[in-house]
Amino acid sequence: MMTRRGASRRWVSRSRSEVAGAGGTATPSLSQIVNWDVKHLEQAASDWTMTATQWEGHFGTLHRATMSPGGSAWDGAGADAAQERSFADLVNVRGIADTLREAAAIARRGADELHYLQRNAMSAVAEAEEAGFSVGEDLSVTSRQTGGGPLAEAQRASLAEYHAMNIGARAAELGTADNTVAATISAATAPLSGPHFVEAAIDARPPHNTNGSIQAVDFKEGPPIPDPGLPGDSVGNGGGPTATDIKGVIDKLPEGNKPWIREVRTPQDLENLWKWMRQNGMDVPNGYGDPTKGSVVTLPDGTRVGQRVAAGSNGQPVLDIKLPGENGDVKVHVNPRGGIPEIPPAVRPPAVEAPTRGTAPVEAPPVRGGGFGGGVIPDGTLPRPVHLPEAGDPDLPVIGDGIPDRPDG
Amino acid sequence: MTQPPSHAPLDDSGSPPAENALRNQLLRDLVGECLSLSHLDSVVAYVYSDNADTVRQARLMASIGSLLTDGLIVVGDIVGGSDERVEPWNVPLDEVMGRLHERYVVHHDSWEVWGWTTWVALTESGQQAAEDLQRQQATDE
Repeated sequence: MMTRRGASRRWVSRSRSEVAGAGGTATPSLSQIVNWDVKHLEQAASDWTMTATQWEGHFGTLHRATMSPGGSAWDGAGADAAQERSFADLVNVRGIADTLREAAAIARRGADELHYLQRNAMSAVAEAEEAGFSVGEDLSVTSRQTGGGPLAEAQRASLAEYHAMNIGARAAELGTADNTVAATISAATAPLSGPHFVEAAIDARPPHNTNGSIQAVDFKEGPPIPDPGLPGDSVGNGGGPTATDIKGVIDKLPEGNKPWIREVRTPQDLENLWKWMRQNGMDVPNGYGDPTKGSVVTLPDGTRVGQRVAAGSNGQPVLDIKLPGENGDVKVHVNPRGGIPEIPPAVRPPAVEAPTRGTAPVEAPPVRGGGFGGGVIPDGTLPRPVHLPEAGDPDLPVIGDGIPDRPDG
Repeated sequence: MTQPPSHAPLDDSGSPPAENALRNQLLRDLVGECLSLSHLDSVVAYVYSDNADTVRQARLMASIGSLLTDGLIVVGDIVGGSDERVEPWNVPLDEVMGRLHERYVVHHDSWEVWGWTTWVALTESGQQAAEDLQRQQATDE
């Protein structure tokens, strides 16, 4: 596992030395660990969430406007076509918004995970330094002390080996997680790479009244709107539970036929509990050894939660929970005698309504950099959103505003 | 949940519990249950909280090896939810222990490798032995 380089007092984990020889892209160096930055992920998550909300708000407004422009009923073939088109666009944009929110959740969880693993790696480095060792850029560990005879040297070598292995393992975890987050975001945003709005010929002639008219509008791009986040939510958990939160809910459920079994009343209760617990989780691939058997996530504080699927038609799903430091894992079963999980309300407030006049729509910013090896989000994998109509643009015709449209449109 | 009575320290005298006590504890816990290696590990971590990780791993490996040798448990993959069962690894005992060692000892720091991918359940003989044990315990009390 370990190699001793050059002088007899310098140790480096083999995984690090081999990787470094291959280009150093899989395991970060010391400076990369120290300067690891996940703000780009947190920013992307905030912007995507805001964008999704704004899209839905704008397209909903447009659809409502086609139903009764200027407060007047609009009938006829042109009205039907415009209303059908605006409704189709609304449905379409809701699907895109859902995808965008999912990508945002993944980015937020990824940021949490990487932040957590960075701290882990930094702790390992600090531990080695406090023990009298120097940690090199390639994560090699060298004793700062000399002398003391063969026994003391052997003890230092043993300790150096331990610290090098510890640091190397944690650094490798960070590198692996970085790749996993990138791949997960790429997969989640893949559906956004193609066109979503089919341009159909629409007879959108204005209604025959003098109160207003309708006209296709340009889509404009505005600057990103930063998400202010939540007070006291420094890692952007956004209301997802911690081990303490989960324990508080689980402990209130009735016990099953073993001390580690808890019971909920219905499959829906089980599903609600699962969705609540897994919010900030990072997927553990093959957590049950086979993805068909269920799914497992790891929360930022090390809690693991999993949902196993039933094998037969008479079975029910089961939740597995591993809380750090607890005695035994917990299983949650469905049983009519069970309880209703008292899931606390989300900390994060509900999404705000789409801004009104004067607020520009948002395009998800190209997010790059961070981590190492070219950044955690590969180029070309980010959503390319449709630009939204500028609701407050005075040059645009507004349905029902009483202002005649310009002849040249 | 956090400190179930059945997971209280095995020896009231305060002395290190005997290996046999852990073996019996596992038998009792496994009655009607499939338990993950993660569960067993955290139980051992609680019971032997003063021991180093490597010692705890050795204790659990020894107990599982003893139960396997006596044909009282199977080790394998989990199947199902409330209808759970353990699908035993269909390999010789040595290979089962080798696979366990590789996952649980060699890759102990990677919980994902062994935590919920490796499960244990009683055989029919094990079920009988566990029930006998429970009866004996009730008589002693």
